[in-house]
Amino acid sequence: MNNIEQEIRNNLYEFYDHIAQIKGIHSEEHDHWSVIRNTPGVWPRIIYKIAPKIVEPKSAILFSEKVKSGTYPEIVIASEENIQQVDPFLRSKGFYPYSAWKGMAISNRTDIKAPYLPEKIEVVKLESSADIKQWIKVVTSQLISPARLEKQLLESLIAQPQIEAFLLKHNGVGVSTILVFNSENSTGLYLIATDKSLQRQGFASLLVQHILFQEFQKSINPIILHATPKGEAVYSKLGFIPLNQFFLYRFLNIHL
Amino acid sequence: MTRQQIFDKIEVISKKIFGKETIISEATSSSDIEKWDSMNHVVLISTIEKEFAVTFDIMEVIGISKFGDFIDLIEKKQTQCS
Repeated sequence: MNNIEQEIRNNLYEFYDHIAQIKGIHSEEHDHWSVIRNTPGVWPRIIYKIAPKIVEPKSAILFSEKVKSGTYPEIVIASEENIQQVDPFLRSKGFYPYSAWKGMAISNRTDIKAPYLPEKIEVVKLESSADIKQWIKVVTSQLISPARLEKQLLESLIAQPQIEAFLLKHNGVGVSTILVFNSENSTGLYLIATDKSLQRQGFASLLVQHILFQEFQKSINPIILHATPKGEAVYSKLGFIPLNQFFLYRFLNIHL
Repeated sequence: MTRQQIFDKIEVISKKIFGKETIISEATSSSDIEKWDSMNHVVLISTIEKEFAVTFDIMEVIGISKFGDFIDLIEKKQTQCS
C-alpha cells in the first residue's frame, strides 16, 4: 500500500476523476494537471492533480492559454508537494492562495464504538428523492460560493458502487451530510456539511463517528478526509491525525 | 511606518473592498464581515501586497484570519528590509 500521505492525495484525485467521468460534466486531462470545467456556478469547478512539471515552458504556455480563454474554473487545489515551485507559477497566472485543507487520516481501530444516537436523530443512506433534496440544500449552503450541487450529478455519484451518501436527520429534517468514497486503499469522506443554523451542536461529529464505526466494520483501509481550518479541531477530537496540506487558490478577476 | 499607519492604510483598502460603512479593528476577522468571502480574501491580499510592496509567502497567507495578522506580517517584512 502507498504511504498514507500519498493515499490522502490519491483518494482526492480519484474522487474528482470519478466526477470528471460522469456524462455531461466537461473535463480535461492534461499531462501535468486535470480540470473539471462544470457550468459556471455549478459544483465542482476545479483545477487539480497539478504536477511540478506544469511550470515547464510548453505546459506553462498551454495553461496560460486555457486560463485566458475564460472557460477555466476559478478554483485550484494544489498539494503541498513542490508547492514552493507551483505557488509562484499559479500567482503569475492570476491565482492567489486563500485557504488550506489539512489532509487527515485515521487507521482502523477496534476501540471505535457505534455512537449513541438520541431518539430524535437518525442517519439514513441517501436513496429517496426527498432525502436527496434535503442533502443538496445543506451542502449547497456550505459550498464556496457561488456554487450549487445539481441533483443529477449527486444521483450519478451515488449510483456508483464506490460511493454512498448519508444524511443525519433531527426530527425528520436533514441537518448534516457526508459522502463516502471507497478507493482501493482508503475510504475518503467528502462534503461533510451542517445546516448553517444548526452548526456547533455536534451533529457533523456524530455523523462522522457513525460512519467511522460503519466503515471500519466493512474494511481495514484507513479513513481519510480533507479538513477546512474550522473542521480540523473537530476531526482531531475524533482521532484523525493531520498528515499533509492542500492549498486552495482562487482566480483574481477583480482589481481595485 | 508605524503600526497605526499600517492599520490606517489597511482600513482604507478594507472600505474599498467591503464597503465604506465597514468598521474594522485589528481583531476583526473574516467571520465578522459578511462580504469577506474567498474572492474578496484574494482581492484583499493582492491589494495589500501591492500597497505595501510586499509578497506574502503561501504559509503566511493561510495563517491570515484577521486584520492584525496583516499588520504583524507587514511589520515583520519591514524589519527584514531595514
